[in-house]
Amino acid sequence: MTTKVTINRLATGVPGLDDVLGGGLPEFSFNLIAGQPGSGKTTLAHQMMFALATPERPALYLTVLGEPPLKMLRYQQQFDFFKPGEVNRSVHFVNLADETLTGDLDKVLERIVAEVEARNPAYLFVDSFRSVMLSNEGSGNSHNNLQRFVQQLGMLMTSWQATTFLIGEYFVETDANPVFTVADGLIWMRQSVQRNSMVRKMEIMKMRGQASLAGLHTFRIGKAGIEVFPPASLVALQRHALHAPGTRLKLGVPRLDEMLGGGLPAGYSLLVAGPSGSGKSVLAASFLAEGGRAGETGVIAAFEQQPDRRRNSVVDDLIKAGRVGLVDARRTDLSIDEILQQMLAEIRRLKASRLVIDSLSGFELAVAPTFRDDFREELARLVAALVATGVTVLMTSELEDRYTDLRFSPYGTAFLTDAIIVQRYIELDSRLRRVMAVVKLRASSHSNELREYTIDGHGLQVGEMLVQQEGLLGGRPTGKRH
Amino acid sequence: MSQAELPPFKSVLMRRASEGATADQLAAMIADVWLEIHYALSPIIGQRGAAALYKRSLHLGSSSHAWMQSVSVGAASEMDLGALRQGLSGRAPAEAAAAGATLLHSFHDLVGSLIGPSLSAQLLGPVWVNFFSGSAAQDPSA
Repeated sequence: MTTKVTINRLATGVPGLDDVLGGGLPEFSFNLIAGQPGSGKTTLAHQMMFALATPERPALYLTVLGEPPLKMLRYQQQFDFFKPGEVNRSVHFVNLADETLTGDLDKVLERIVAEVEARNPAYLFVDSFRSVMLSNEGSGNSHNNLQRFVQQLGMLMTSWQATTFLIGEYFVETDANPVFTVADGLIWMRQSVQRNSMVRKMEIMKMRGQASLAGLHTFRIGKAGIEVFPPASLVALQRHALHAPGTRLKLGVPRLDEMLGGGLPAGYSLLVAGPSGSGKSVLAASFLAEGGRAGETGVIAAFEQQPDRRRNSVVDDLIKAGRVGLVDARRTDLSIDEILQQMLAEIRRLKASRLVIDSLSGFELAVAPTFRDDFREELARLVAALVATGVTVLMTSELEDRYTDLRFSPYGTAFLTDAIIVQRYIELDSRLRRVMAVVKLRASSHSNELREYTIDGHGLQVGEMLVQQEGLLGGRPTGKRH
Repeated sequence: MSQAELPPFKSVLMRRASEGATADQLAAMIADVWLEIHYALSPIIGQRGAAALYKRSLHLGSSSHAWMQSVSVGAASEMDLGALRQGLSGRAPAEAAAAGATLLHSFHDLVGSLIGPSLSAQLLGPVWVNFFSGSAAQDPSA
């Protein structure tokens, strides 16, 4: 039997936050939620409070100066997590403005002690702590007073077996603020503005007793409250046993399936690269439609810039029939982690076995500018996380036709995928004709043929090789000289 | 009392007046409700917050009861209920009852518009329950 203490970890009720914290919030910890005004501190505090508090283990929310409590209640109740019926039942709001105005921290502490003794809270929130600090500045020797105040509050609340949150603004990260030393947990909330997009990010700078996840994690504030998007590497992936090992998924273009040696191996990721109008989206639609015919479900993440001119009608019908889930991601402030969460949610919902990302070029435009520098790395993590679920992925990628060099993908994404199909235009007999080839199919033999194909009302029709021609990849083939 | 309908402040107070309550008695009753409102709200939104709502209600009420304009509102952090009581006592009982009801209605609507009917009911429900049950208990005809 171990004699070491076991620290309970509390489920915060904020989607994604427990993962980022390293498994939840340690019980009886003394935490600081810091960030600029408008960064979501009060919302985070309320969301956790309503999730954690019960009539037996109530929460005490102390409002100090700063945002008038009436306004706070007015705005916070707009969120789904705010349950008016819990106020004065499991959640108690108490205003300490009068004590704070005196500037005497001992008085503030005295009042907190009195309220804590009277209500016996399991969770204590002090919002905002900056007001406590400011009110103390006039009284001289403020740093020492504040340190003593924080230490006493920390000690009091820990021995009272309460999990405590101080909500504060304007802290300077490099400042040796005594609050940082005393705090067990430090959650920093930020807003990053680049061009005309704003992205919210959260950092767990400290969390005693457990390994939280380093780095900045994006989050969004919606009607339901805050949702944190843990990075792709951390997403708890449930692998579905979608297909028996060795199964091949048909793309719905018979001769192309033959070129792949019988279809795309299940769980593979395929990149379809080609110039504009070469039929990448048509192939993607065929992939989903073939899944539909086989009784499978799929998900399409559409990053088209003109949603009205929608995909082909086959995909639309599948979406309407509920056989294909749509991740419609045409905002300008998305993070890759958020898009991944949306895709995973749809995959889980439909138990989908096929996923289409159409296209990577649109995807790059959809993510907020702040993430574009790391797009390649993030994309690699995203693809890895997706295929780890067992889903088979088809991504399209715009590829400018350059006849002077042979490229298969932009941003060097070729390494990301298990398979690559390249589509090209060639000029022949004064016509623009199309050819395609399977360039790569990991751990599997495949055709090396360069075949002509056409697009008609039924999709892609793969024809024959143009054996009489050579120099096809140069774009202007010539007849073979015998 | 459902959340959507207005509490029957007016009918309760007017009935008391018609049953012979003096303006003094009505003023005391109305000041008591405000004291309970103060106890219910001040811990949550601060004394200043609660006093500001009282003052706003007084201002709104004065549009139909002009004499309310002259009721002293006191310091920023307090409800000067003594002044209200004095103001009401100086009226005829029917006017005191009507004015008191207007004041409570204004306050009820004001809080509802700021924090919504359900949170208002959660915070102030016990006050209204006390008010109405108290009036019933004191109702000589009951």
